[in-house]
Amino acid sequence: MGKLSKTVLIIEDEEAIFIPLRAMLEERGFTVIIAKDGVEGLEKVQTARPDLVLLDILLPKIDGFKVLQEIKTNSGTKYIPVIILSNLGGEEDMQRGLDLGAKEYFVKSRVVLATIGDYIVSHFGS
Amino acid sequence: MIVASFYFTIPSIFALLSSIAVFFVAMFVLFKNTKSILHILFFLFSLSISGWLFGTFKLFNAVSDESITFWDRFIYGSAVFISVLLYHFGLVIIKSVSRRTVLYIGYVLAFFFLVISQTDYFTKGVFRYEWGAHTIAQFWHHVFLIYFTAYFLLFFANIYTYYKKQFDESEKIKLRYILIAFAILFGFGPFAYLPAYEIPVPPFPFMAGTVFSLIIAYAITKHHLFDIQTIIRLGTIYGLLFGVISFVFVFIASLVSQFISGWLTLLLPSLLITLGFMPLKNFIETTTDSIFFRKKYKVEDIIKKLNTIVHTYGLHLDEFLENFNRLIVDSLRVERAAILVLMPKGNFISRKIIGGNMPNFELKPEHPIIQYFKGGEKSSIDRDVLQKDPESKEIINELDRLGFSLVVPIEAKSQLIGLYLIGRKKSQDPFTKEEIDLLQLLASESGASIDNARLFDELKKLDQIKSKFISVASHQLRTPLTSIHWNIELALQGGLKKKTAKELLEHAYRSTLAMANNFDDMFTALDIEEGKINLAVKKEQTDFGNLVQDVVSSLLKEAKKKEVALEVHLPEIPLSCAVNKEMIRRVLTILVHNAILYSHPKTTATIVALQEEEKGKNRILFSISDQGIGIGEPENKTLFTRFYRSEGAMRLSPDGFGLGLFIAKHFIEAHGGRIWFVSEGRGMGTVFFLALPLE
Repeated sequence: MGKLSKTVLIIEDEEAIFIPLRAMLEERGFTVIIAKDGVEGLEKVQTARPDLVLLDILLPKIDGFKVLQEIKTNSGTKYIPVIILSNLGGEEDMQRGLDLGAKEYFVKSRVVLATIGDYIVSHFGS
Repeated sequence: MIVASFYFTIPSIFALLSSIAVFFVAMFVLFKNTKSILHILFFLFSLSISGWLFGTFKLFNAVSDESITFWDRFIYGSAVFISVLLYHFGLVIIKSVSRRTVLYIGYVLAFFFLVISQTDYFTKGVFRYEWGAHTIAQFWHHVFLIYFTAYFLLFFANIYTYYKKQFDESEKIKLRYILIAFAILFGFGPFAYLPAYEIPVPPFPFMAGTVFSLIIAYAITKHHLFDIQTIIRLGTIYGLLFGVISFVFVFIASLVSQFISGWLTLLLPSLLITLGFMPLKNFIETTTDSIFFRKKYKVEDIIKKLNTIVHTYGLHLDEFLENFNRLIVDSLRVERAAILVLMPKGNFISRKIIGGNMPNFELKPEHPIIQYFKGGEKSSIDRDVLQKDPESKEIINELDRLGFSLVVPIEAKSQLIGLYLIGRKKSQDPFTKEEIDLLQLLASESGASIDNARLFDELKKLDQIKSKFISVASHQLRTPLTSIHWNIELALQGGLKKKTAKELLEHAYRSTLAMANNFDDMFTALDIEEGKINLAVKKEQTDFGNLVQDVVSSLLKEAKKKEVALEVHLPEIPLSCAVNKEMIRRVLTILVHNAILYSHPKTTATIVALQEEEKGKNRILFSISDQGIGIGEPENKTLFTRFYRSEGAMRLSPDGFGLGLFIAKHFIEAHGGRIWFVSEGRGMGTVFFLALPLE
């Protein structure tokens, strides 16, 4: 793991969630950065310019959809792929995420870590 | 030619027209309410006056001695009843039940004089003078005058004493009219008798009778019994109708009689009148309305409009009420009106107010106006009428404070579900019985619709709460579930350091606890809904201070993580109390946890518990004060309701059911205690208080 490995930014406030997520990604060779709320998340997107963002929706300070919008409208960051990891399971929410530019939307409680890991590896390499 | 020849002079025409007018006024007053004694008396009184006037008309045109005598006696026959009827009328107005004997004597004498007046002992011979003729007074006429005057004076005395006793200004005004009318009658009336004593008098006294009738009628309207405007309007319409028809009839009949004779001459005009009556009536009605009377509402129109409103807005409570209110305000031309609707908690909240720029207000179930209608029988409150009842002072004060003068209940399924509060008319006139009846009719017609709309409204709100609950609950539970299965998934994979595996399992474990807590909160909330909490409060003797310390130590780790310091102040002596330990521990956990959660980092939350005396009773007072996000509007009103989370709270911590304070409130109240908060506003920190009674 050095600069050659891809960086993933996880924007998630629950420790019990980002810790296993990080462990799983590090095991697959990614470098992982954590942001615990929407504001911190946007900052780190700007400064770290990750190769992938994993974004939760229900965040403190600003909600994930707004964060997604910001990322996708900012010229420096709009090419960064974003995957939504949320527990909002409604059709409209999923559609909204995809409409705003997310590449994929996972409902956390419905998928195992391995599925997320495999998807990321196959679409974004490692 | 059938048309007879009349000697038309202005006074005699006036007498005839007045006679007809007073007659119609009498008929309409009677038709309004055939059961009211006041109406019946007025009818008889007016009939007498009408008879007097008609007789006067005939008398002006009588030529021979016989006809003069006949018509003069006709006049006296009508007039003998006037004074006793007036006296009786006065008794009803002052609501007197005594003096019946005087009344019966009066009637007996009236009949006596009725008989005598047709004989020569009363009047005899004829006195002719410049303006007319009159029979000459004899012995019994003098007696009659004494009797007549006596009852007039008694009427006057009754009304005047009653007037003096009144404190109420509106009552005084009503009586003033009656006294003025009396003054006119007594001023001019006696002149009518002068010719009986061979003193010639110009023909004006009889006009006093007409004026007097009209003034009395106007006074009666101030009693809210009928609308003088309606009567004048109908009187004018039917008077004109009668005039036109008579003229047409006579004209056509005489025209036709030139060519045909016999009963056919009556047939043609009758036919014309039958065919032309309705269009003629409508024409006269619309013309008089547009010339003399402002466009008044028609009851049928209003009912039609109401039905349209019901059909159009059906279940949309707010639009329905808005349009309903507007319909009334425009038709009755009132300054303001408000509709209050029953809410699930039992209080009545105003939903639509028109006029006066008033904010919405609320009446609790204990409010005097609500209590008034709880009995179920009373139909409406009219401030001016209720003012006479000394027991209703509270209601009057409330109505004045709110600015309304009429309250009409809205009922559905025998339950009071709403109130219609109406202010004064723009013209400041009192409400007539007709208008109050109309409002009651509208209230009862719309009661069912309003009930449906408000229940539907409640249902929508409950549905919203349910949807919100489902979405919050599903999210709340998915988060710990995710943590559990991801952490265990990784731990099971193996190949991890022991320390890491342990960490993962710890996370999973804590999540199971969190989930258990959430379920617990949910089910506690459900139990509270079902009313099961109050029954289950098992108390035991315990030290409140110990409970506080337990809760604080269990939350220290979380506080440290959020960089919030907890400061605790407890008294030296134990705070002994009998409470349900689990429930109180829960309440304290909720409050301290909230304080930590919503505090800004690097601040202190201060906890104080002590025992004090309040209004002679001992109680434990607990307070926790933070320097966090504070509580402003609108959250301050709904903080203790289910699922409620303020904006600030959700931004800081989007997870959360919103059940904590709801549960805390119910647990404390089940102990007979109280929970409340003080906050300067958003961003200014909050202090939560608990009070637990010790006895």
